[in-house]
Amino acid sequence: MEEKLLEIKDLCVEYHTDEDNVYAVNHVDLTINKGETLGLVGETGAGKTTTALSIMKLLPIKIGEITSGEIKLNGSSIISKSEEEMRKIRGKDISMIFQDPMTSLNPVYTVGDQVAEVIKLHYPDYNSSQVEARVDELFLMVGLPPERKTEFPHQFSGGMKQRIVIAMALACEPQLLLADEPTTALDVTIQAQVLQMMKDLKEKLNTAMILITHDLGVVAQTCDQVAIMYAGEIIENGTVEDIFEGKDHHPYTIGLFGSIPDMETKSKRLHPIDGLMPDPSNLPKGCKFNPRCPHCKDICREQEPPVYVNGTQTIRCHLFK
Amino acid sequence: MHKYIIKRLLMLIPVMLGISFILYSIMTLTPGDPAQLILGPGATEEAIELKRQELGTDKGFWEGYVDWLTNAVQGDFGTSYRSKEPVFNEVFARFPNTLKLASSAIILSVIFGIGIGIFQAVRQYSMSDNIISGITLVLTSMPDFWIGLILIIVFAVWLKVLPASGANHWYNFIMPALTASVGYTAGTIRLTRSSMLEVIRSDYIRTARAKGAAEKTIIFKHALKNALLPVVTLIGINLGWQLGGTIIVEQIFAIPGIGTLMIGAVRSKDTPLLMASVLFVAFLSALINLITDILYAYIDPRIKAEYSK
Repeated sequence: MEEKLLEIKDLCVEYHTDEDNVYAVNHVDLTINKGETLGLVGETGAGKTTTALSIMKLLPIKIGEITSGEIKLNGSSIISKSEEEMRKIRGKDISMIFQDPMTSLNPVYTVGDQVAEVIKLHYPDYNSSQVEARVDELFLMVGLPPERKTEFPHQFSGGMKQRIVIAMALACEPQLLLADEPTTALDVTIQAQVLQMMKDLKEKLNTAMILITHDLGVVAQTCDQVAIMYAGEIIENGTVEDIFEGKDHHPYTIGLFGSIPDMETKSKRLHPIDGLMPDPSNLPKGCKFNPRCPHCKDICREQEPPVYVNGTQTIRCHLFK
Repeated sequence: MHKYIIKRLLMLIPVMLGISFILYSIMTLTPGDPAQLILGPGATEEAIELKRQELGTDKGFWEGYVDWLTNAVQGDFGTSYRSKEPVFNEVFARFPNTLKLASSAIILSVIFGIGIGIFQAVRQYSMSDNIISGITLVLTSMPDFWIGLILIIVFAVWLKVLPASGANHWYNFIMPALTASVGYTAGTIRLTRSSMLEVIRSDYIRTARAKGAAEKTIIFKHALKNALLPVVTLIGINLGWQLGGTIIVEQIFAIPGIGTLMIGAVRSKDTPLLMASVLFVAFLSALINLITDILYAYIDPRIKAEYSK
C-alpha cells in the first residue's frame, strides 16, 4: 500500500466579488501518494490553480474562501492551521512553481539572494556559508553556473528564470511540489528541457508533484495519475493508463483528446469542443457539462451525475451505471 | 555609472546658458527701467542717464548679455542694483532659511507620506483606509496660503504657542514647514498607496508568500523597494520645487528666503540679483534631479544596467 501524502476531500472554494459569488472549485476529491505525480488537466478557468492555491492557503485574502472540505497533509489538516503554522509549511513541505517565470522573481534582488531567502527562512540555524553552499548546490542541480547567483533576474532568459524558480521551490526538499503550468510561458525546446529536469529532480528527491497543465502530451510524459477538471469539478480521475488507454471516458475527456490535431491523418480543421465553459458564477443544473455534451439526456439536465468507479478510474457521468 | 554622472553634469552647461539667456531677455526686453525705478519719478533725464551708465544698462541687448556672460564665466555675477552688494552675498544670506524650510517640509512629507501610504495599502478598503483617503483628498485640494492662515489663527492668535512670523529660532519654522508639507505629504501618501497596491498584486509577491516569508518581510523587503521608485521621483521633484522657495509660505510667515528675494528682484528689475538667484536655484534643482536618478540605480538594478551602457 502506498503512503498517502495529500488528501483532499470535498473541497469547495468560492470567490466573492461585488456582483456575485464565483464557484471556482466544487466538491473536489484528490489523493496523492508520496513520490507520485498527478496531472491536473483542464481548460483555463476550470479551477486548477484555485485548487493549488487552496493547498498552499494562498487564496486572495478576503476574496477567495474555502467554504467546505478538508485538506490533509500527512494526515494533519491544513485548513485548520494558523497563518503562522502555514508559513512554516510553505516553501518547506509544500512549494509552488508559478506559470510565468518572467514575473515571479523580484526584480530588485539578486537571484542568489532570492534562493537563499527560502533556505534562511526554513533553516534558521544555517550560517551564511552553509546557506551559500546550498545555493551553489541548487544552482548546479538545475543546471545553472553558481557564479551567476549575484546577477539580477533581468539578466536571465525565461527558461533560466524558471530554473531559478525551480531551484527556489526545491531548496528545502519539499514533500509536495505544486507546478502551475510551469512550462506554458516557455518555448517548446526549453519546455522539454525544463520538464525533463523537473522529472529527474522529482525522482531524485522523491517529491510528489501536482502538475497543472492543459497539455496532454506533457501529462503522458510525466504523470502517474491524471485528474481532469471541468467547471470546478473533477470529472474523470485515474492512472495515466486509464486515461490514455482505458475504454470508458467522460464525454469531455473524449472531446479533449479529440481536439488534439492528429499528425497522421490529413484534416483541414481542428476539432474543438463546441460551446464555452459555463460561467462559474452561474453553473448549469445537473451535470455541468450538459450544455456542450453530445450525449446529453434529460437526466443530465436535472440530476448531478453519480461517480462511476471502475478499478482505479472514476468518472462523473450519467452514461455509466 | 561615473560616465553617466559626468555626462549629466556636462549637460548642465547648455541648460544654465539657456536659462540665463531667457532670463536676461525677459528682464531687458520687458518695459521698465531699473535706473528710473531706483531714482524715483522726480529724477532728471541726466541723472537717469548717469545711473544707467553706472548700472551698465545703457548698453545694447547683445553687448549687455555678452558682458554679463564673460564676467559670470569668471565667477563675477555682478552686484545688486539696489544694495550694491555682490549678488551671491544676498543669495547665500537668504538660502539657509529656504533650506531649513524646504528640508523640514520634505522630511515631514517623506516620513508621513511613505508611512501612511504603506499603512493604507496594507489595509486596502478598510475603514481607516477610506478615512485617510478622504482626508488626503481634502488636504491636496487645500491651498497652502489658507492652511497657513488657519495655523496662524489657531496656534499664534488663539493658543499663542507659536510665533506667527520670523526666522530666528527653530520653532519659527514649525508652522511654515507644516504648511509647506501638507500638499507634498498628501501627494506622497496617495502615490505610495497606489504604487504599493500595484506591487502587492504582482507575481513575485505571491512567490515570496509561497516561500513562507512573513507578512512584514513581504511588505518591507519585497514590496517596498519596488514600490518606492515613483515615490523617489516625486520626492525629488518636490524638493526641487521647495528649494526654489515657496513664495507663498515665505510671504505668510515673513521668512526672508530665496522666494521673497526673487520676487523682490523682479519688482525692482534687479537683473543681476534675479539671474544669480534663479541660476542658483536651477543648479540645485538639476543637482537634485541627478541625485534622484542615481538613487534609482541603487533601487532598481535594471536601471543601473541602463546607465552603464
